[in-house]
Amino acid sequence: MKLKFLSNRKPDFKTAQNSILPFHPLESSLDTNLAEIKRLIGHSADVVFRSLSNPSSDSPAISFIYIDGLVNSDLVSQAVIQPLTDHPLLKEQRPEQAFLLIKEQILPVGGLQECTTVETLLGMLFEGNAIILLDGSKIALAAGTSFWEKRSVNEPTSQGVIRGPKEGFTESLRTCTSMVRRRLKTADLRVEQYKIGRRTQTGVALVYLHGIASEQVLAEIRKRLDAIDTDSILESNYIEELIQDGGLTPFPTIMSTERPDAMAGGILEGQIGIIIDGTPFALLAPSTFFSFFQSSEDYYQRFDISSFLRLIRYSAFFVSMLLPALYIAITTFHQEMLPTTLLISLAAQREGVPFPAFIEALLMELTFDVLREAGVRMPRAIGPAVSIVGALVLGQAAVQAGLVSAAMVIVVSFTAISNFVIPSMAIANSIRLIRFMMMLFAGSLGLLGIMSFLMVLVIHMASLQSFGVPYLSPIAPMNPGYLKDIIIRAPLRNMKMRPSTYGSKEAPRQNLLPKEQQASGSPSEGQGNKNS
Amino acid sequence: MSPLKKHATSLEMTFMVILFEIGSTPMFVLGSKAKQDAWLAMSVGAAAGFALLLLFLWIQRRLPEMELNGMLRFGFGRIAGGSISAIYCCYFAYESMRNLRDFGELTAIILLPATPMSVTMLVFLLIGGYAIWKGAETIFRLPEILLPGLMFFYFILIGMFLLMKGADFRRLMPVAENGLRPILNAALPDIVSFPFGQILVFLLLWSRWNRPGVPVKQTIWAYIGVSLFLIFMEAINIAVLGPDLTHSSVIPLLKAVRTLSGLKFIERLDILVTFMIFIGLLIKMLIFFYCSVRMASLLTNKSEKIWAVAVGAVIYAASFIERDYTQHIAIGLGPSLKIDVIFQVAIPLVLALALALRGRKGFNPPG
Repeated sequence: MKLKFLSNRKPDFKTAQNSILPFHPLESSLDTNLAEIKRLIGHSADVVFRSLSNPSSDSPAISFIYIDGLVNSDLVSQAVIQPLTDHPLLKEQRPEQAFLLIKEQILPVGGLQECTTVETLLGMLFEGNAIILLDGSKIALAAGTSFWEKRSVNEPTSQGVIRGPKEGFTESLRTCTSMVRRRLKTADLRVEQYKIGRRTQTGVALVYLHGIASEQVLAEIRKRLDAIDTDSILESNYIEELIQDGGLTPFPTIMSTERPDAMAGGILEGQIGIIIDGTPFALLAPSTFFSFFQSSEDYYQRFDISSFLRLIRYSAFFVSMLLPALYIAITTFHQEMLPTTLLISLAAQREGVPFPAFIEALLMELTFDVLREAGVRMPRAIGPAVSIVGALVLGQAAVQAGLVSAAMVIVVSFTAISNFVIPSMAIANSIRLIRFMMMLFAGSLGLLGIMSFLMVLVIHMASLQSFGVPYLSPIAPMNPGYLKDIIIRAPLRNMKMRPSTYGSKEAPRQNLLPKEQQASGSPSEGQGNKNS
Repeated sequence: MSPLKKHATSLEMTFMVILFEIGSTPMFVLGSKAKQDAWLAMSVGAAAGFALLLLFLWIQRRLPEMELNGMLRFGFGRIAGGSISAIYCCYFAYESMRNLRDFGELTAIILLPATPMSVTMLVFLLIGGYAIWKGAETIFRLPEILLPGLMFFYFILIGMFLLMKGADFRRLMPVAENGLRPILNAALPDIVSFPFGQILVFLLLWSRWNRPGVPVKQTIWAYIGVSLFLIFMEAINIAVLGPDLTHSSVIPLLKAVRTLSGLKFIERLDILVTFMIFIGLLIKMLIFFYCSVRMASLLTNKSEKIWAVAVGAVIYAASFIERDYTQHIAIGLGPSLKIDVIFQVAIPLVLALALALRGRKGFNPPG
């Protein structure tokens, strides 16, 4: 398997995560430590320093640091500050014993970690831990008190289904991993966490099934994640662009999903999930071209209707890519291919139109893209105005004014609607760009231009790879056994083997009992029932 | 020169043989000299081609893991083998040029009469060049995408011919009216050299099979299947148009499809035929182009990408030498056929003889 590596990296980048700060071990003096921390943090309004020191007694001085808004203040006061101020034994101890006492007995919080350098301490602080510094101890404690305002779990906005789970990922990494974990209750589910981004320190989690995900692909993804040396990771697209296979291509080679069930399904087939903190859009890699046409709803409906819908999607793909181009090619170069009556009607419509078909189509397509972008950006209150402008002024009025032909309006509208049928926004967007190229070729070389550009696309896609997996598999290279979940969706009972498309080993994922026995016993179907 | 990578799966090999042999063949009625017996001539040609195929397979089995260049050097010695390889390189480029010109002429006739041929041919050649630039692994994946689509179109057409009663198989009667001689005359050597003898190119491609040995079974089954298909298409063509009309038209299949005017939705299914011609000619042009590039790169130890540009330029330039379509056809049916015999039959036979003699001396080829 050929794996492409990121080759144009700077030779001097470091993989050390906190490389922007020099390495500062904690001192035993509380004042020195506090001074150093204050120097690094500066005067930030949201950082709370609180000291419990009573110079008159011989008890050790204690300092707390936490960030207001990242911690649960009730928890900090009740579970951290109060026990430490109240404890009768604490005052009599020497610093080392006091430290042990605090660590092992006093604090009633779940997560408690030790920090020995200022850098790890700051890292803990920014994650919402309350830091406890003890005079005379070279080790600081970080209590897990993090709590911040989160969006609750909502229905996914971009990948809706009629039947199926209605919850989507949220911006919180932990919530996302828990949603996957809840669906895959197996010891094989592994969650590997990374921190990427020098300034954002964004949590990135690799989620996969041990023994099913291909080790080779996994190693490659880890390698590419480690190689990332950037300021910031604010959304999953940062990761996607930084780790995807090199080469200029309009096609996405990593899938993004907002649905935990889609991610669980992908993981069960051997894909590797990448969840990024701060965005509900998680990534699935490696992805093939055909995986972008599979919706998780395909598996929640009867296979016949799912197969039909898949065929509709592929047709919509071709319509969305080719329809305006075909219209241009046929009306400009190959009129003889149309039935005479249709040709006459088209010619009559185009009679008053001042532009060639290519310009006409280009104008209309661009107009639609403008409308679409406006629909995303504009405030909700102005929505109806845009619909009126779009529907009436640019549709009917434009036709009546003789600027465009009515047939062209139909073509453009149908193209636009078809584009929304494709389940993945990523591939729908790449078609939007390809469509313009297609129209250009159709306008200059007619059908030949369309065929040529299609052929170039086919060659291009045949050469693409996603983490070593050929982009067009399992069609090219073909594996006839796996075709039953590509063009159509075969009944679950017939998909007994897990495909090895993503580099995993082929293995049964269902009990291979004969049908009669299965019907009498408890039927155990579905994706969740896998044997590794 | 890139080292030989064994990447092609069995299915890719099978599909490649099928797609390459189909090529643009069903567009034309070969051996139309034999009138209504052209399909019999086709059968004879296929049978003779099968003998050639066995010869090529024998050579490849004697020298597994070797490409044509290495075989020629092995059989004829370094210098003679090298020069013959260079001539083969030119031969492949020539064949590629013929397909390119075919495409240019056909496009001018059926698709874009007003567009200069230099543009359409350039576009066509650039597609081939792009595929070669992407490498053999990509080229071998193409049949898996294109062949199912192509077969789908063929089945639509065949279904239409049969359902709409366009095909009248009585037009194939009487069988062998004038005895076997005209049939044999039409079949040998014309049909053998196009398309069946062209399977010669697989001497450069078989070694890419991802398993040890030679894909004998895959090739033979693919060959038998595709031969039957081609014979059937030939018969359909004649059954629709009749022997006389077939003989006189440039692209009989297109003419046959144009008889299907009963469909109200699309007046003519030209678009299907155009698509078939496009894919068929492209894959032929591409494979010959690639073989020429590969031979050149093996001979000079330079990368295929460099040679793709050089050979591409030569092919493009050479495609303008012929003055017009008449001359193109005249050369194709005259001198070209004689050259084909030399390259497809004579040299491989001598090579096989050389190998047999060497074998008697006690040589054991590797593997």
